[in-house]
Amino acid sequence: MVKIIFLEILFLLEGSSLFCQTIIKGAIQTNKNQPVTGANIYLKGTIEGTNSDEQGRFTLSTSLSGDKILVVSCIGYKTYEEPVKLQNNTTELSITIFENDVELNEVTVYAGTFEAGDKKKSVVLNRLDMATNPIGFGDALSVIRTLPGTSNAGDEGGLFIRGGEQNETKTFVDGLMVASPYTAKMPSVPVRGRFSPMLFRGTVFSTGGYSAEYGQALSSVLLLNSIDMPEKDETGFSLFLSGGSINKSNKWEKSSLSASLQYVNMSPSYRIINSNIKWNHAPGNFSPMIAYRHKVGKNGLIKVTTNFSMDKSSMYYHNLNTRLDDLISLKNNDLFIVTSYKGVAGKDWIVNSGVSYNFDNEKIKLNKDDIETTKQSYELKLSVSKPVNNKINLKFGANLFHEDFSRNYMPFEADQYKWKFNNPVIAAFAETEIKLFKRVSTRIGGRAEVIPLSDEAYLSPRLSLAYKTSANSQISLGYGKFSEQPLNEYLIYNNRLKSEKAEHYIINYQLTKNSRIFRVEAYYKNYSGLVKYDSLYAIASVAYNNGGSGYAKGIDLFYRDSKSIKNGDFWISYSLIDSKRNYRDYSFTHVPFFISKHNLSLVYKHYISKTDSYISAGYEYSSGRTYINPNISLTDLIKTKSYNNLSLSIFHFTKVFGKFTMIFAQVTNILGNENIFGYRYAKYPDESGVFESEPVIPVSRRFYLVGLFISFTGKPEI
Amino acid sequence: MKKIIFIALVLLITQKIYGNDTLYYPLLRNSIDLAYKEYKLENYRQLANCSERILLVYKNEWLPYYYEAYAYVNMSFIETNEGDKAMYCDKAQNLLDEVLRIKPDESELFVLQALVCYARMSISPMINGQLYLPKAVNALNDAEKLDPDNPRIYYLRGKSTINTPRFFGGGKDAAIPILEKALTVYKTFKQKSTVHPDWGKEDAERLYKECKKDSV
Repeated sequence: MVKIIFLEILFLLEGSSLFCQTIIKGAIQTNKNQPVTGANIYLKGTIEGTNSDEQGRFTLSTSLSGDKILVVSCIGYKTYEEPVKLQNNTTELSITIFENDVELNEVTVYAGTFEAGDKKKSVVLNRLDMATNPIGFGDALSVIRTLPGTSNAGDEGGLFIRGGEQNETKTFVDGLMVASPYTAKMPSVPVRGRFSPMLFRGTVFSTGGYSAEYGQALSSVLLLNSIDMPEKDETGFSLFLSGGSINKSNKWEKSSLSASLQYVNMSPSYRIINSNIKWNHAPGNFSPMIAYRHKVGKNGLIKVTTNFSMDKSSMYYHNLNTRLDDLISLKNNDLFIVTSYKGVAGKDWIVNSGVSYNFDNEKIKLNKDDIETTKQSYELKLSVSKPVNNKINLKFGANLFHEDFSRNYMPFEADQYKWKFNNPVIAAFAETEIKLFKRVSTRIGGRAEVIPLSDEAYLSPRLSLAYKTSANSQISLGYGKFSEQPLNEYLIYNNRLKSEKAEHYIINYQLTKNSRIFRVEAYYKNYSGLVKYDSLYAIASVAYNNGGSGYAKGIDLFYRDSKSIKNGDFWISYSLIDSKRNYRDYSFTHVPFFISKHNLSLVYKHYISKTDSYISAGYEYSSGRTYINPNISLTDLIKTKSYNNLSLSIFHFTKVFGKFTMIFAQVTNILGNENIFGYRYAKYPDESGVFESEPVIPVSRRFYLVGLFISFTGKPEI
Repeated sequence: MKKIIFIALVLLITQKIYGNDTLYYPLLRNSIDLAYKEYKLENYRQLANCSERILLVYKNEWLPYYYEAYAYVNMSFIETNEGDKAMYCDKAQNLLDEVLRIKPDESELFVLQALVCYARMSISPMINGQLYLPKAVNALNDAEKLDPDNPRIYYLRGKSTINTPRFFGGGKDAAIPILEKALTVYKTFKQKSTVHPDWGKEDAERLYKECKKDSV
């Protein structure tokens, strides 16, 4: 009896009779007739199975019987199933399996978009690239200038994208627009980004055709997503030739608090480095930053970032009309607070909302006259998205951006002028992403904006299409209409000016393979309703109108390779642009003064493990820019010489008193090229009938920076 | 007697149906031993396949998931083709995401998470290094919180420290105390069953000797 039961147990264990044996033999090959090694062959619902050998052959012997399903699974291939009858015999099978379909990644890169940061796919630049960027000295966001589609406007600073002016690119932090992303402008001094790229976990840089979620930018958007939570507690400080900073962040279970303080004073630098500007007071900057994060519920996160910056400088600037030096002084205070919430509502509604506040006060003293400009703005935004099914994702939202602008002109011995207006922009958008076919995905959307100031209401459609040509490559198309209110500087004189318009057409091809990225993009953009005025000094409202127009077309190339050179990494960008405009005070249609037909930049970074150092070199080339010499002709365009800049930076990592220390040194324009951005001319000719002129040149021919960063809490987060 | 056998039988049947027992242990152990024999792709592929077959039957057990993911991570280290390396990492990560839903408080799973991060870093150190190193560090910290007596935490931490540039706090000297800790914990470590994770000891000893040799 016991024996029988024991046998019964064995029977149960094996699930079948001990005495029967079925053998399934076979070979597995791909649809391209290649044998499949290491495929998993098993009977569904059991743990009985085997693997295929190098010839794709397998033998599966089983004591099971009856109707079963034979499964062949192998990573990278579609799972194959075949019903089999197990009846104590030997079966031979020949099986063909198919490669997995090329899947569109969750994040599909659409035409016109560059992503940088920590998203897994499609990363073009990472945070280390931003931190060690040798080009665009000291300017936080200048790494963007090493991407194609940007013009090198070293006299203005900021981003000039595909024939667009600086103001045509808008910066967004956590989805909310930054009203004053750059420092205040002084003549011949390029503006700089106010934010450190190290605050951000990801950056999306669009060179055109961007999403309907954003508006008020004719050319491009720069989307900065701040860090959710610091990875750990941190304390550190840095000292450099012209200033220093301290930073501290603490992390708790549900929240974190980070603060930093930076002080910059350029006086010591300009004592060593020759400056082309006669400084009365070299630029000084003081900027504290506080960031607070709080987790709410399971998936919610509230982020508050407060950034304050105070800038001061004063210079003697040669006035070509009076032939005397003007004393120009600048004081600028800027406060930007952005609060955002993201979380999940209901089952799968993703909510992104935010509030921002900006206060910017700029006091300029021109000899004895005062000009004070105050901007105050806030924004409310709500956007929600929801996957309708696994093929369709829906996103919609609305925002209100409200700005108060005022300018007081207070001449020393005359009546003062006052301009003031407030300007709300109300917008709503909807966008849907649809996976049309296995390889095709599309994004269709539109944005409606209402502007009470100019009595405008319009709809801007946006369209993109991505076609995956292989697992590593894709072609994308983009189209969109874009609107932007004229600059405040024009609206104060004529607040009935309508929005300026642009239309983008983009085609893009991207190939990513083995740590190499190649992309090529061609575009056409046309502008209409650009603001035109009689003269830069006109203040009558009739002097301003929307009669301007223009176009830009070109090709952008980008190649990045982190593979071919061991410990080395480089990227090359090249942009070819053809653009003409008739806007502002242009008297005929011509190439805008800030455009260079060819722009090339090359960044190479090398890690030397022996000495723990990074060396990075950057080279920028731009062909000559146009200018008009009134001494020759008012209708002839002349070109400056080309712009060349080779910069180098070295980061060396070591320990000082047992603390992690980074020592850095940067030099720009090693070759000492005499770069000229253009020329400025006197308004009237002098006694001999000549218009006096002066070249527009960089602040200093060559620039140096040395400094160190010490972290008390371990390795620096880069 | 009959009663006892009956109970045994019922137990066996229920175990067979619900699949929450240790019946698969010998099978899995065999496969693990085979993988350990030599560090080559096919050995780990058979472990991945065997684990996959088991997990499809024993859906609520974390170990089969663990071993399948573990096998794929190792395949990623062995493989030379970059596309395949990434594909194995993706697979391992998907399995980890799934099993963490079943067992969110298992220290070994976080150790494995760190290993996946290291595998990703090795694909393209210049690009992925800065991205995955902090994630790996965090995963090991989480693993330590859940079970400070898991020696693999210190072994991986030590190994990663050796490969980290000195300026980031790495280097052989910095790794010595961490590996010492690993060896101490390995000494007292008791494997919970024949198939619970037990790897890393020999490599930790080897690395420790190497570091010691170079620091003298």
